[in-house]
Amino acid sequence: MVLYLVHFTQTHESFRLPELTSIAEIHGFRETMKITPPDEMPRNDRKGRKKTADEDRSSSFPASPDAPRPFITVELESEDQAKILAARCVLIKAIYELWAHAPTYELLHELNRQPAVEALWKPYRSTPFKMHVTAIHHTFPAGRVNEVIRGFSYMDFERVAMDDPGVVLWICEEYELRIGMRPKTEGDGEFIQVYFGRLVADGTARSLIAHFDVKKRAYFGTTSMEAEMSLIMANQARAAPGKLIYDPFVGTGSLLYTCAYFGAMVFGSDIDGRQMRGKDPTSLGVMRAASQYNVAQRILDCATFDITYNPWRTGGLFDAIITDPPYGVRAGAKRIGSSILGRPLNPEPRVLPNGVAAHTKPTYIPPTRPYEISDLANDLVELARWLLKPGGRLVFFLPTVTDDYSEVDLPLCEGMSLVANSLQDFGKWGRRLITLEKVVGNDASVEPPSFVDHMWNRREQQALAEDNGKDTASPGGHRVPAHRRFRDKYFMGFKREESNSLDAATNAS
Amino acid sequence: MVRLITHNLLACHVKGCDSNNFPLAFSDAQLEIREAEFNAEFLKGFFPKIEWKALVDSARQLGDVSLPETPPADALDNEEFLKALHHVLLEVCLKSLDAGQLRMTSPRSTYKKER
Repeated sequence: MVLYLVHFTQTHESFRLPELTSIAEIHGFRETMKITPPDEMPRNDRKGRKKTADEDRSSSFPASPDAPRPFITVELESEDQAKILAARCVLIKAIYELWAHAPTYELLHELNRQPAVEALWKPYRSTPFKMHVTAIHHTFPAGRVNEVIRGFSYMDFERVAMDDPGVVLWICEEYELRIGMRPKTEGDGEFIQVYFGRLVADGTARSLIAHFDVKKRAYFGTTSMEAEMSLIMANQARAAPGKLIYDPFVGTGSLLYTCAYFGAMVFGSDIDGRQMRGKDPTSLGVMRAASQYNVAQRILDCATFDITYNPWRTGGLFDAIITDPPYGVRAGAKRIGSSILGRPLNPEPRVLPNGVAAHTKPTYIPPTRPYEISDLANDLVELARWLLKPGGRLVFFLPTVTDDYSEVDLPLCEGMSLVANSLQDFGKWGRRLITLEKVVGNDASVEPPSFVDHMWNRREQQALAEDNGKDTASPGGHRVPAHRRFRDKYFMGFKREESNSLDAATNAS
Repeated sequence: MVRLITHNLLACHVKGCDSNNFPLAFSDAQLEIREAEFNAEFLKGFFPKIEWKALVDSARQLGDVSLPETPPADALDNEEFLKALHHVLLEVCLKSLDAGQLRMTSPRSTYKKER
């Protein structure tokens, strides 16, 4: 086992480890891989003691305690595994073989000279080399870089090659993130850790972000998922050759392209066929974009239907279900049904005065009513439990209201286990990428969901509670999830008084 | 246009319609080929889910007779069979004879499903 240092990008911190472990699982080395948790990464309080409150206040440029650090260490069986991670994880900037790290250069060189560590770099002595000296959250003053390089002269590396080196030796000083205006090189030398190692691979997956840029896509819409996130989601879904992946709210197809790019066969459905087809009658929008990315041969089909009236013959079909369901804010979240709550659909087709059945006309739009996001999320999880193969994953975004969110809000059900929950923070609200895995087998006990009218049930419960003189604020004693009626809270700017009364009113619908 | 794999997975979507709801019947359809990437692992993974009779019948209705009435005993290791299966399952498509939408009908219900 060899120790590697993984250098992450600055954003999407909570997505890093789930993405990395998903890729390791695809390639079968999740079990042997050992990750150092981020909060166990070594640091150095240079004075050897905690800062007093006075010192903290007097420092004009306090460190930001919650700033994520850019590195973790990982033990892997082989360099090939490191290269696999760097080639596919979109959040990885680079991976290095870590030779030594310490709070000071003195300690670093001491460690570096130990026989066990020397054995790691000695073989590269006659390889043309280049030294890459860098710093996190800091700028070197003139001349210091050369000083650092000279400190390594005892290694006796023979041939410098700035162009086309055979090995890149990497030195990095990691500093605290300091915010506010200050001289650029202030605090020089007061790093948390200095790291020394060899570049194994640059993160090449990041170039896919530009490749899938929505603005350059042959077909897209206002709800198209941005490139970086659709790549991360495809990684969470463990898209790979031989797999079958489904998006039940496929819209303009963003998630299909990245899953297909990684080799999976993909299927999409949506209640609104226009989203998939586009306005051009001579070509299908989704297929135009798929051809642009050379993945048209992996798009099985796209179909127009409401998941609450889905035509799937059987369950246990898909390796993954990946989707960004409509929250009701930009895209209308709707399901087929009467707009009058509680009224069942007419079982007979409506026949127009000229004898034609209304639903056979090409301009026919079926009656729909709102599909509230918390109901949709619960139904989606039950649908996934039925449609997934055992071990398959559901990967979807859930909008959350920051102040009110609690983990119990997550729509779980028996047979689906929570694998990851990564927050994309927008301030007063956010969206969480939830990954669930089907842990139950494909026996007859996994039924398709019934898609009952939850709104109607809540109204009934409320009426019942009123009749019995009970507290109507939360019938049945269940906590109202923070994302209930998310759409309304969003348009009210997440103001609290409104949302409290909204929750009370919510149980009526 | 609908690949035969999709046709093999679609049943009547009317609530409570759970017998005599598959396969969906079609008429006025022609065969069209849409290319798909061959992947043996995908076919082997999907094979247990195929309703074989419906697949063969729909292919023959379109004029493709390359698939046997029953799959061979060594189906998943048989390279030739897998290639034939790939072609029919993934590349043979149902397309409406006229320029309009293809009509597929549930065998029991009188409502039509359109694609």
